[in-house]
Amino acid sequence: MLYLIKKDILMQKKTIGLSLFVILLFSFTLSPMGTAGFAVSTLAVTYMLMLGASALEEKTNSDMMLVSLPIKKRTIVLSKYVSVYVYAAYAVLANVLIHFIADVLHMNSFGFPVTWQGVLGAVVAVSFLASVSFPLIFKYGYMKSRMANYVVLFGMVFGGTALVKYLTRSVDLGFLRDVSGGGWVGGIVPTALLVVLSCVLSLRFYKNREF
Amino acid sequence: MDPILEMTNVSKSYKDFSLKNINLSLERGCIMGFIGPNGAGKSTTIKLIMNLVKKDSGVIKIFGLDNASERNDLAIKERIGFVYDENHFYEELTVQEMKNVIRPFYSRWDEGLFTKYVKDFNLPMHKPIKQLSKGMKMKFSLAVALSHHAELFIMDEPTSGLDPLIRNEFLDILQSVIQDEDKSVFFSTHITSDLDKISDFITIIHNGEILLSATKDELLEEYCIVKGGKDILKEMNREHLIGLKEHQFGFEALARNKRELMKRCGNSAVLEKPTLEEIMLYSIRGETRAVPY
Repeated sequence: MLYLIKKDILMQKKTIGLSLFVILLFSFTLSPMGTAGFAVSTLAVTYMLMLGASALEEKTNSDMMLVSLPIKKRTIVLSKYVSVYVYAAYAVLANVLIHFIADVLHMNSFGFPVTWQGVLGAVVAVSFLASVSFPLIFKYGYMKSRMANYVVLFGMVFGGTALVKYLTRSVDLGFLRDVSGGGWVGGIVPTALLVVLSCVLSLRFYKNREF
Repeated sequence: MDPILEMTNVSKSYKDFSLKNINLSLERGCIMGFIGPNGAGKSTTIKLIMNLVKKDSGVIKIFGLDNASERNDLAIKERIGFVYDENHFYEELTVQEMKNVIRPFYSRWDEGLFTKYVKDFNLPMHKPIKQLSKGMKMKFSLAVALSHHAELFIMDEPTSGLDPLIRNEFLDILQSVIQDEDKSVFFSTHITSDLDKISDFITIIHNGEILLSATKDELLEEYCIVKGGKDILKEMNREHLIGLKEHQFGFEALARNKRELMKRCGNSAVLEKPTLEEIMLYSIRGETRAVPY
């Protein structure tokens, strides 16, 4: 599985360079949003790399080669899900680094405050997006599911931001700040369940897919 | 000994195309040329062998193992080397990086052998795959296929689009591989001249059906092109003529049982040794009248 993840990173060398620029841009433009901006930045970069890998694979129909190799289809599917968290970790790390540098240079309007809530929010958002997108990609391929995936992304960025604003105003979300207990459980457990369900669905689609 | 590859009554239907009751058998140490025009079902057959599409019915056994069983899938693919007609490698990766991606999945990967082929084929290890010519991509594909001690090589039109020089080189390599009598090659192509040189068995497919499957020598010995005047045609049993073409002065067709025909026609008809291409063309033309093999 490690080799498949490494392959996804290797073939996106250029995109990863571009993603650094995107993170820098977001650090400047979205910094007034604070933690929400951090989550959006992490989500956007993760999604960009996630779809980028699928797009490159579809370009040469590389699935045909992968499935012809002695690799379990389960490994191929799982590696895609794991790679999403690798991209997310990279985006978080890049943001932390930018925040640190901005702090040292006293550039207060640059970068995001990286908090556990922000990281949790980003992980939940990334997981949700991957959970919706991957089954579509494994069933129909990247090109055919592209439009649906964009709808999900924009729906989530704009709808999600609006929802968080609304909830923050009208509901007490204090429990989410309790990172040592209920907040983690409330955020992680449903997300983990969603990811598992999505994995099962993706694997089923991929096993039945014809190349 | 079990055949290395055996397909029994394999069928697969699509909206506009069907593969019907495919039966074929490939022995160890043999090269089978799988020929037919474009759209005949060659790639679909190969996809069925490689488990890239699901069959509707029938059995495919590779190394004596049912390829539909998930349990056998990895064990079978470990022992198969494949070369497809198009590049399916990641174009952004260099040859070295791509090899490093593939290598860990083969337990019998032989790095020394791969290095040898890289040298023989002059493969640029640090060049991105997208910058390689079609011939180079094919050679890389072949180097990978040859570097993990595979026993069965599945090749889907590997020579199409290659210039004659590289094509020839490619065929020479295949021929040297088959010196090992335990290894077999299933080679699909529509360039029949490729097979004149290297194949032991020929299987012709058209419209999703196997028209004939026999050893190359048997085909070239038993079949002949018969040409003659209209008077001879009247005396002949048309059932025995494949792809009969009548013209103003007479006829020409492919016929089986060359010896019997020689006895019967004497000097009144011209009998010529056919090429594989002619056998394929006449068989396809006379598909409905072909004598079942």
